[in-house]
Amino acid sequence: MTYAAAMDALGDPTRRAIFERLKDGARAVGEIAGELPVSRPAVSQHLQVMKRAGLVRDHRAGTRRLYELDPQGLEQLRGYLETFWQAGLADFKAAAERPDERGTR
Amino acid sequence: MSTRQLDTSPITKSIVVDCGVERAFDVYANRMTEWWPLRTHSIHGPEAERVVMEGRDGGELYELSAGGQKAHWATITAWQPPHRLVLAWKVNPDAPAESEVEVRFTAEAENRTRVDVEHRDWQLLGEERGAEARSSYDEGWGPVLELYRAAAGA
Repeated sequence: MTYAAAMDALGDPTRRAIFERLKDGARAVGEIAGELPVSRPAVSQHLQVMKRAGLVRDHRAGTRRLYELDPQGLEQLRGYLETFWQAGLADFKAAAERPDERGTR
Repeated sequence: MSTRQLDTSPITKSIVVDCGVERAFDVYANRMTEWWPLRTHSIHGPEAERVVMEGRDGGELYELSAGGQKAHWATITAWQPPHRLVLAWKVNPDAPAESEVEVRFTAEAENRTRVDVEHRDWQLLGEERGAEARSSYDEGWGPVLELYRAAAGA
């Protein structure tokens, strides 16, 4: 059910903005706050919510704490969306799974 | 799993795309690779590389894998650019019969075209199997046509 928490967390526009800023790699709270009209403590708080929701994870790098996207949480979210995406696949799937599909006839 | 009521009636989907009728037809029929969700909706899955529509009556619609393997989707039974396209649809070679897909393109304005898709003849697959296939495609066509709409209007 992680995807539900993840989606709830992303319902907030500020958190979406933070989320999108992590797309290119790990960032520190101060860096993120510097790019958004939001205070540092507020960014910190949003990151905590996103961490609990499985969207981001953090680690220490020297004296700094860096936040990055959590691949495991994203995978769950993707898996959830994919169940819709694959709707209507039955026919292709059946054809793909035929025993002689990849061999010669 | 299956519902009690066996529905084999035609599936109809209508969308409006933001382009002229010529382009609407061209993107749908000749540029399917650009919008069809090949990774999930194909026989070769992630290895599927493109969709080929042989634009003529009796032509074939098929996918090609990166390794050059071909997999049949349909035979074109009516090729009438830019207004109409009919396909004898049979993605699964084990299916007992073909179903029929008709796509009609109607100009509503210079940059607005209505596209009606009708997927029918489910009863030819047998009542139970037909109803099951119908339900699967009924779910599937919506998202697939949204991708087409985005490509056509781009």
